[in-house]
Formats: sequence, structure tokens, C-alpha cells
Amino acid sequence: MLGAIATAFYVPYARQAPEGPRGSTAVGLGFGVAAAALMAFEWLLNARKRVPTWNLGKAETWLKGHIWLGLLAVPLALFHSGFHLRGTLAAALMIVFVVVILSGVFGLVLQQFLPRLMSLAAPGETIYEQIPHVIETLRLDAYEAVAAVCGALAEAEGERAESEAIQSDPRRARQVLGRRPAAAPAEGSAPLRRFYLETVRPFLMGDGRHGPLADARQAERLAQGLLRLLPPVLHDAAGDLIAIAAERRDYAVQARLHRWLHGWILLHVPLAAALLVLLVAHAVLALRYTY
Amino acid sequence: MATRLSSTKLRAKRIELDYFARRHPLRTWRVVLSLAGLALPGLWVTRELVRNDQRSVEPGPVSVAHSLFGNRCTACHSEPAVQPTAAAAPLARSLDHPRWLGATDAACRRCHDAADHETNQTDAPSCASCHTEHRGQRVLRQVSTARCVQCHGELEAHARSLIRVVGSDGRAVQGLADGHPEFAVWVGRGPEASRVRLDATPAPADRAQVRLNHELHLKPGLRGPAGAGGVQLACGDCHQGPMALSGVRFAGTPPPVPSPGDAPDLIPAEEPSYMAPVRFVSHCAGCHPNTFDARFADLPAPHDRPEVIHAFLRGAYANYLVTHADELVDPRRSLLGRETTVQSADAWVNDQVREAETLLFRDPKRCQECHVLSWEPGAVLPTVAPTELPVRWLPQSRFDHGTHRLLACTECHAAPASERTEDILMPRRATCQRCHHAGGASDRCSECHTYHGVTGPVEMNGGRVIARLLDEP
Repeated sequence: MLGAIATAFYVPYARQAPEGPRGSTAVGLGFGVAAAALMAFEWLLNARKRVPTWNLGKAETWLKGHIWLGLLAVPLALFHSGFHLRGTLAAALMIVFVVVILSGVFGLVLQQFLPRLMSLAAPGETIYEQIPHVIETLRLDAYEAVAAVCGALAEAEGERAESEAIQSDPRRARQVLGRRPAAAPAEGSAPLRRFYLETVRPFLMGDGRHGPLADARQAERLAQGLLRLLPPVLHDAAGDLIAIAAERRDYAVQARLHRWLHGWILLHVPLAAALLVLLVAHAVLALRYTY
Repeated sequence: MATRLSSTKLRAKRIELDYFARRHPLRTWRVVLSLAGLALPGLWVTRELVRNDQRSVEPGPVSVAHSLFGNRCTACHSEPAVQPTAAAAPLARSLDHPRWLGATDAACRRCHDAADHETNQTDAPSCASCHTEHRGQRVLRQVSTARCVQCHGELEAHARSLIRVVGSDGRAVQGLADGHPEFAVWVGRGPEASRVRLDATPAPADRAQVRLNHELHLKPGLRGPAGAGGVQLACGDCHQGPMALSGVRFAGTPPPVPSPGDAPDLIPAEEPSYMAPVRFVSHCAGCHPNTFDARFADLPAPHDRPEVIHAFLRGAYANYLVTHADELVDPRRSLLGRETTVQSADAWVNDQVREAETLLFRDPKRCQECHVLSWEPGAVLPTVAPTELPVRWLPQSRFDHGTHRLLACTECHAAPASERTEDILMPRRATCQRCHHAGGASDRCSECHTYHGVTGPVEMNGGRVIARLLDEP
């Protein structure tokens, strides 16, 4: 509605302006002031996030205002400039503004389907910032699951030392299985031991996107083969390893989707900051040299 | 199968309770990049301002005419010599140190002594409102038609007193094709001069006191200069701009170099755009020599006032007598075939001069072929009616023949059909509109009209110093 009103003002103005629409005319300046005001308002969403406990309206309402008023600033800015890029500063301002808008729209589109996709593709979703820590516990869990039936593994020296340290710390022990290594390897546990050392452990130490366990179907086939090699008493431990690998895959998927979901912010917010500086410089200098 | 991992409780236990208090790379990068986003453009703008190079912050390069100022913005945007604009004045006064640097009319008038448009305008626009700067390599004189239409579209609403427009039309002009009246030419000179539209009834007549038949002069096989045989004149043989002076085909003597003194009615700065006045020595004398005596076949009388011609003739005959003393006793020689009786050298000269003047001034094929002569009662020498040839038919506009040189003259001037001096051969508006229309050649007002009236010759010695303009030490 506001955009239509602005367009209704602009069209006759552009047709009648002697030198074409310009930012320095009264109407053009009005468009510029309105666009600048909207750009300044866009920053208020950031301020609103700083004080989440203040009763300033629902966050959803703020976000809607941020989106729609930001989009409204586009025609206002274009009307202000008369659809021209005049001067380096003004051109830089307009280009940065367009990139900010496009990155915001990109992020908005991603927000529409990526969360749902994430819940489907990564059901083991956790807090993004905790993914490295959770993976670390997975490594310990995997070690303890294997060591409980295969005995302490000298090849996994790091995990063994860490497991022993955690088990001696009651506060941290709650985060892992807390199994004790077996005094002697169970009969027929060699395939499990080899599977852990050659397949599971490298997979957990990597980025979760490479190796035979990175693919769910291939992991399933490996699991079936492993179970056939193991006596039934060791199936639980093998199942734990397969489940740990599946969880690691989820975190890899989650991390990747999370970077898409929030990575655009790294472009959107800094450029919005640059936009603010350029906007102030443009406004001050333009007014100073025009009036 | 699995013993542990389905436990949501275990998943929750694996989360560090203070994770949110620690910096995460994504948040850290967002802060770092945001600070960079604030700092980098700020540094860039500051750098440009500190270097005093404000070209990057200006809305576009200045016009060609102002490019000599380079990046010295203060040439137009200066303080405090230039007063703030009317819009900014109140705010500027409220500040201890005015910082409004808009280019004002005063700044323009430091270099441009432009005359006012009209004294009865209700409101005069500022210089910058029409001459929009910082739009690149454009000519500032080319003002948008819409600027003119702001007033001329409704002229009566923008005039304080009587509107100086010929007739009743021309008060609501939207453009050359909409409301523009027919061209009006100046007829006559002095107090009797008036502007008459070309479509007026009766049609305006050229009141120049020179007889000329364009149709006759453009006929083939005219008798040309001696020995040239039949000639075919073209427009350019008589009507020439300064650039074409070397192309005179039938001149008796080399044409003089034009100067403001030769063409006092032309404004020097506009000379190249207009045709130079037709001059006898350059354009007529070749075929119409002022010969007056077979003894002086190579010495025609000067094309000047009768008094000057009289003095010339006396000198010519007196000199002739010095070397031809026998002429005093030769009664048979007579210009008009009459016998003469010579009493003295002075009387002989007087007789010869009188006969030569009779030939030059009384013969309809000599001076009177073009000029209107009259004799005061008792006067020996005639009075030549001032020719009053208009140099500019349409002084309210300007025209550049140079840019139209690809066209045949007769596309605009109907000279081949003109038999009378009274015919005014200026093209009408419709002729211009054949090319100058929307989608064709430009039809903006400034193509022909100047907003600032030209009240006199342009001062060519501006007096300004380059170093001062460029702010050099």
C-alpha cells in the first residue's frame, strides 16, 4: 500500500520534473528522507534483540516490520535517485543497499524451508554452538562402548586418557556413558575393535562428511556385515557405534544447513553497518553542498 | 540394539550449561565484520575529505566548461564569500559557523555576468535550477524545455506587468510543436522597428533600401566578370560565413578579414554561426564594377559615400592630367559624346568629374541599380538612402548555419522564386519542424533561444587570471 502511494507520487513527479527526477528536488529529497528513515528503522531490530526482556512488542512483529519496511525502502531509494547512479558515493551507497536487500531476501527465503529440512535431514539436531563439544563426547562414548567389551585400546590413547579423566570427575561423567574398560577382550570382539579403529574413530575425528560412514546406506550395509561377524553378546556395542556414527552424520548435516541458514547474516549485517555510514556521509555531504 | 543414544536426557546432559556465555565463531565474525563494515566506509570517506578530493562524493563530474576547476569545489561551493541560499539562510544564521555550501547565484556571477531574462518576471529561478551541474560532459546551456514551460506554459501567471509577446498568441507555449507561435521578424529600424509574424496579413515586407532580385541572380548564363563568360551563381557566392571566405569566386579584390568592426551588428561571439553580411567588394564588384571611364578601366570608383567618390574622382582625374596634358586641347574627348571647351586644368577636371558622377549616379545601371538615390534641391551630389539591411531577422533566437551546412540553402530559403526585395526569405516554423520534432532533431527551447538577454557586445577581455581561477599560489 505504502509502495503504491509512493509510486503514485513518483510517476507524475518524474514526468514533470524539468531535469528529470533528482534527489535534490523537494519531492526527491522527501523520498530520500523516507528511505533513510526506513533504513535507520531496520537497525532497530538489532537493538530490539539486545533488550529481549523489554516490553517492546512481539519479536515476530518486529521481524515483519524489518522485512516489509526494508523492502519498502527499495522503491523509495530508487525514486530518490531517479533510477540513476550519480557519483561514486551515491553509487556505492545504492550498490551496498541493493546487496543488503538481496542478502536479506535470500535469508528470508532460506528461513522458509531450511528449518523444516533440517528437522528431517538431521533429527539428532543439537545446539549449533555445542556441536564440536557434543562430537567430542561422541568420540568418548564410542571409545567406552568398544573398550567395555574389547579392553582398553592403546591405539586410541587420547580417548582413553580423556575417558579416564572424565570418569574421575563426577560433573563431567554425567555427560558420557561412564562405562569401565573390560579387563580382558571378549571373545570374538576383534572385528568390533578393528571396525572402531579403522572406520568409526577416523570418521568421528573428521568432518563427518567423508568416509564410509558418511553415507547412511553404506553405513547400514557395514553394520549388517559387522553384526554377522560378531557374537550376539557384542551386538549392543556394535549398535552403539552405528548409532554414534549416525548422530555424527546428523551433526554434519545440521552444521552445513546451519551455515546456510545463518551464513547470510555475515554479509547482511556488516553491509548494513557500512550502509549506515555511507548513508550518513551521503546525507550530510549532499545537503551541505546542495543547500 | 543400542543401549544409550535414544535417551533424550543423555543428549541434554551433553550440552554445556554455560555455552551461551562463550564466543562462537559465527557471532565473533559477525561482530568483527560489522565493525569492519562501519570502519572501512568511514575511513574511505574520511580519506577523501582529508585529501580534499571530493570528486568521489560529488554526484557526477562537472561540465566541460567548469572542468578547469578540477577538484577545487570551493570555486562554486565556498564559504563565507558566498551567501547561503534562501532555503538554507535561516538555518545558517542559527549556526555559529554556517556550513551550507550550495552553489549560489552569487558564485555563478563571479564569473558569469549574465543578463536578466525579463524584468517583469514574478519569480526568477536560480542559476543552478536550470543549469544542472554534476551531470557529466554536458553543455549547461542546453536547458530542459520543461524549465521554460514552467513560465511560458502559462505566461500571464508569471508576469507582473505587460507581456512582451507579439500578438495574442505565444502565451501558453509547451514546446515548438505545441503553442509556439509563428516566427516574428524585425521589420524596419529605429523607433519604427516592429516585430511581425511571418504569417501575418499582409505579409511583412523587407524594408531594406537595396534592390535585389534573387530569382534573376540565380539564373544560368549571367554575364560575369570580364572574360569569365556566362556564370551560374550559387547562394554561397554572396552569402558566406567567415569560414567560407576563401571561396569567393567572383571578387574583384581579396575579401577583407571580418572583424567586429566590419560587422557591427553582429555579436562577436556569435559571428561564426551566422552568414557574413554581403559586401560589394567581395560579392558584387566582380560582376558589377564601378567603372566610370574607359581611361580608368582598372580603377573602379570606390563603393562609398558620394562625397568620398567625388574626392576620389577629382584625385583620379587630376593625377591623370599630370601625365596626359594633351587632354586639355582635345575637345573631342567627352564621356557623353558632347564637345567641351577647356578653359583650364581645373575646369577640365571639374568637367570630367561631373561627367563621371553623372554616369555613376544618374545611370540606372550603376549605383541606382541597387541603391536608392535622391537629390536635395540644389545639391550636386545625391543622398544614398541607408540600406537598412537587417543582420538578424530573428534576434530573439540564434541559429548556427554551420551545423546546418549539409542542407541546401533553398531547403529553408525560397530564394529562387523571389523577385522582389520586399520578400522576406526567412523559413517558417513548419520548415524547422520538418527536422526538429519529437523523435527527430532536438526541439528543446534552448536549441534556438537564450534565456539571458544579450544587451551588447560580449566583453572578450574578461580580466581574470588563470592562477586565481585555479587557486594557484
